[in-house]
Amino acid sequence: MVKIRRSVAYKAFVKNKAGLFGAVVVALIVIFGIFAPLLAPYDPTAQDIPNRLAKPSIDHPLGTDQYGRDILSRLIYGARISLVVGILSVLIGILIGVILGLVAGYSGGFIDLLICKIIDVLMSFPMLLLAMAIVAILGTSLVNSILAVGISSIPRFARLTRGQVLVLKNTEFIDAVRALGSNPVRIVFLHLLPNIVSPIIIMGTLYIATAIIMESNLSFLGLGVQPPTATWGGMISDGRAFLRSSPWVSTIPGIAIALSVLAFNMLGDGLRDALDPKLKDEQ
Amino acid sequence: MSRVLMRTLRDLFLISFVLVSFSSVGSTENILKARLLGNISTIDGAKINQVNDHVIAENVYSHLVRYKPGSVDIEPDLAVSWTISRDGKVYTFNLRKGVKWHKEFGGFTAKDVKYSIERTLDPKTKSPNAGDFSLVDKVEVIDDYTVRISLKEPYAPFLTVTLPYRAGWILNQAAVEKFGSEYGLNPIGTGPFIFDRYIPGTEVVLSANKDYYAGPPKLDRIVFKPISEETVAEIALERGDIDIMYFRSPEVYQRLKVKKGIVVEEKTGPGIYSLVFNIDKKPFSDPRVRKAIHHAINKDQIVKYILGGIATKGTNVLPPNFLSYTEAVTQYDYSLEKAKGLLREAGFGEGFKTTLYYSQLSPWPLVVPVIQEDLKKVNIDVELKGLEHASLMSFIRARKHDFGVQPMLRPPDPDMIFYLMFHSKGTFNATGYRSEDENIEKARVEMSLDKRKAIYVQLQKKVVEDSPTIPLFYLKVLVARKPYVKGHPVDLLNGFWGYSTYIEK
Amino acid sequence: MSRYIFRTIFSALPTLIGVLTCVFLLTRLIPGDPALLILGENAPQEQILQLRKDLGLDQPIYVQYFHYLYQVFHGNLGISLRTERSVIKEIMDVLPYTTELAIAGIFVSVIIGVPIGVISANRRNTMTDFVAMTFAILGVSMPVFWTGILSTLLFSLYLGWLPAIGGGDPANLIDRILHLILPSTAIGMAASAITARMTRASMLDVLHQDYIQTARAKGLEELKVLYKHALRNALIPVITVVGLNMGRLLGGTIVTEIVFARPGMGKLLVDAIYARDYPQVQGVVAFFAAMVIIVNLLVDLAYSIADPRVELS
Repeated sequence: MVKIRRSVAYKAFVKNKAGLFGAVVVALIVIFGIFAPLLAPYDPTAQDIPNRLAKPSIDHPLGTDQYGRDILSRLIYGARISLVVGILSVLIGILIGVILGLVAGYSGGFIDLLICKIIDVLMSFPMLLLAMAIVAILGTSLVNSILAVGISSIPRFARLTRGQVLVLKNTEFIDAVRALGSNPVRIVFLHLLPNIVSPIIIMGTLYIATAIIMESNLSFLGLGVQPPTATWGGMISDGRAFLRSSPWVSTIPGIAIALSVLAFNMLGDGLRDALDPKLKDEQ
Repeated sequence: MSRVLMRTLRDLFLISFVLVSFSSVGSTENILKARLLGNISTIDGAKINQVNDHVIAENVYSHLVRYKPGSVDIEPDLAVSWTISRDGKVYTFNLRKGVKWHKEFGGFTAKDVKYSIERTLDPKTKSPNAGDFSLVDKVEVIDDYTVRISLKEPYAPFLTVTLPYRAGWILNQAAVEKFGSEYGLNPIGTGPFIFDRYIPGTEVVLSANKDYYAGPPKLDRIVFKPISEETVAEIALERGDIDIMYFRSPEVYQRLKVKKGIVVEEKTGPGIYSLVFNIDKKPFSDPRVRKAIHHAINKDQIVKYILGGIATKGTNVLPPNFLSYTEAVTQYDYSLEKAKGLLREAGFGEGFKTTLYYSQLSPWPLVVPVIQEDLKKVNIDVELKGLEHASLMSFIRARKHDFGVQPMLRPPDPDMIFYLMFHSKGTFNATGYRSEDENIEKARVEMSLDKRKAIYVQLQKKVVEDSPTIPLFYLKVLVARKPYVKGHPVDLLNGFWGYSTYIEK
Repeated sequence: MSRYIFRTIFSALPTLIGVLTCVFLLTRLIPGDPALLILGENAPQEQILQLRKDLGLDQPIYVQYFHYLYQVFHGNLGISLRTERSVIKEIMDVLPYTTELAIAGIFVSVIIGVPIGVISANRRNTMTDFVAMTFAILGVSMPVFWTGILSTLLFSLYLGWLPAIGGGDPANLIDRILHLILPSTAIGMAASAITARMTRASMLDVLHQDYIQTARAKGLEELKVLYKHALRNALIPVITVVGLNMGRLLGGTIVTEIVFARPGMGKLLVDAIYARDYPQVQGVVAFFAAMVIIVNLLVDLAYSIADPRVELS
């Protein structure tokens, strides 16, 4: 008896903590991103070459990179890029993916088949590959990075939405509404959509984490936002040449990425537990 | 003991004996593991225009005359002696007898020389080295071991610069025709090493040519490993995955210089590393804009900090160890006021946007962000676009850029720089510069050393004044090796002299 | 059974064609004239027109499309602009390295992920569970290239135990394996996190089933219950996840190959992008997607063999 009670309490405690931790860190990152110009001690692109590769000190709490640029400032501005790409790309994915999923799920039949096939095709491209191909064609820029990561996330949202719609479609609730004679569009938007909002929010949050990693992959490969704009992936890539003598240049941005992604993951998990008790079964 | 047991023991004994003897055969093989700076594209002598291909080719092919290992003086190779006509236009070579082509492709004769040169000149071959032979009028086979090359005009550096460098590799017609489009990875030469095996991305293996005319090389095999990352190559050298490497990173240089168990050798190279403008494109068509940019770049800072120790500041389109080099050229000191003033004069006080194309090969990626930042200070917004090295070379030579970088490492004759880079027909002309064609041509054919020098001094003054390029720095050639690698002369021209190198453990 | 096989393969075909269509469209979106891109603006007009003809660019787009499909199904993915060799050849040269990396990655993810999942499921809601799941989240949070760089720093530079770069001597199996350890662990870590979570969830599902209670009641030792009964049944969805992970894993090989300077399709792709070698980019992307489709197909088929319930649907 005692054992069960302790484990239930432990479970609740732990989960709450994780979600809370995630929320706090995410909020911090967002604050850093928005208020970057106020918080960053230096211009992230200002070079100070005689002072290059300086170890962390009072002047430069996280040291300087190979051109003398302040790493702390670059880190803060890099948060902007990661957040902007992360959030906007997921919004694109949700916008287009959800609509596709709604249409496919509700219509059924040939339209469903067609859309499913399109989703299958898009999912055959590993996310990074698709993003790279899009950037290779369109060129590198902030907008293209957002588009690239966004487009590669569409199929997943479409699939999720479709799945949810399929489940809901045959419930008594919807039958009742349909019996009342509402037109399909109203049914979809007024009745179906509100019920799938929670899983979408949860998946969206988790996907921001993935999108941040995708962005860092792209900028690591030199296919993301171009220098001298600070990006976390770009900082890691640039710092590789100096790994032996000045390892902080590459290591610190990596910690930033890991931390942000961890935070979004924990937040997503926390949201899942809070918003959708049904999904708790997984735990 | 049972007979079965006895027999098993005997077999085991024999097997281990055989294994041991095989392994000891392996350990007496003299194998050198060397670094290549990147992947090879083709070892077709006529098509080579990048350093990695050059390294392999130099060991597989021979020239008529070649550079003494580690220097830029020449010595006989496939030609044992030669005469030059009075007017400087006709070269007659007496060829070495008894030289064999690799892999049973027969004996070397004068026909091979004629074939090689004509093939390079043939537009169908699309050889990037065709320009080197632009002065060749005809090649005649006098007999099996005598060949005569006639030039349209006398060309002083023909012997000292054209023949010992890339254009001068001698190929075999039967081999080229046999392998067709696959010849690039199945080259046949007369050099000290045979092209044995190529595993893409992993290694290029050369094995000793036992029939080499000067005797087989000391090494049995050279295994070249492509390692494009400088720090990765450094680790590989320290661990013994490679025994020797040419490298370019200032960080690596500083660390290896003081490392026990590694020997670092350096020599000033005949190379000039510049920024190039496409002078047919606005706003670079205006010399004031080019000069402004020249004043805006802090070369001292780049050389001192970013390139710490591996380069010297570039002030002239000719490197310092070239014939006729002079210091009496326009000096572009680092001055933001002068830069801004010139830009305002040219109507670009507000600045403009442009794209700088650069090569991924060290040290360019380290340098260009500083250029970008320097130009930001005069309101020029530079977008950086990095290309793989070989692609960058083709890109700027086809003049697809407005603003780019150009590494130029050639044998130290001023014609190599002026003709190839600044003549309208030069195959390395990345700027479109053409106003000094006449003088460049005059200097080519001038046989008197003093008169040649004088023309080149004038050319230096004029070209630096016009500033179609900005000479940034001259790089040293850097080699790091283990102490047991002996007999290796530092090659100034991208080569790798494998013949005299050996391992002594 | 064979009907199921046929049906599965049959449905993969339109996906493959869809993929090729996507790739075709993608490269037709390149701004600018491909012929100009190849030859440069200063090339004479006749040369440009000739090249357009050679590339088939003067044909209407649907003709180009069918021509492209025809070529691909005959194994022709075009000629690389840089090396002038056929793209298929370039891919085949490096395919073994990418394949062995992907397989090694899956192997690592399974031998790390499954036991962790099992242990967590068995000790759910305890400290062990928490630690394991945190590790799982961390594994997913760290970018592969970063863990790759850090592990190079530790194991190659400071400790000198493992080689830092390359694929190893192809003839020497031990060398190849040594060269695989770091990169496959880098990829495997992220994938193992997902595998662990999935295994845990699936195990929890199964552990509640009646027959497990029965086995326990019968007095079978815990280990046997866990492995012989529970895990076997829990493995089925895990296999699916592992198979689906393949797509993600293949994507992970791209960055890993760069970090560890390994030859492979990822490095081929990145080099092609830097060199603006569009035929090669096109060919590698199509090939990659085709590989994912084939793997998913194989997983579907394996799934049906493992779980006889499947074919009835």
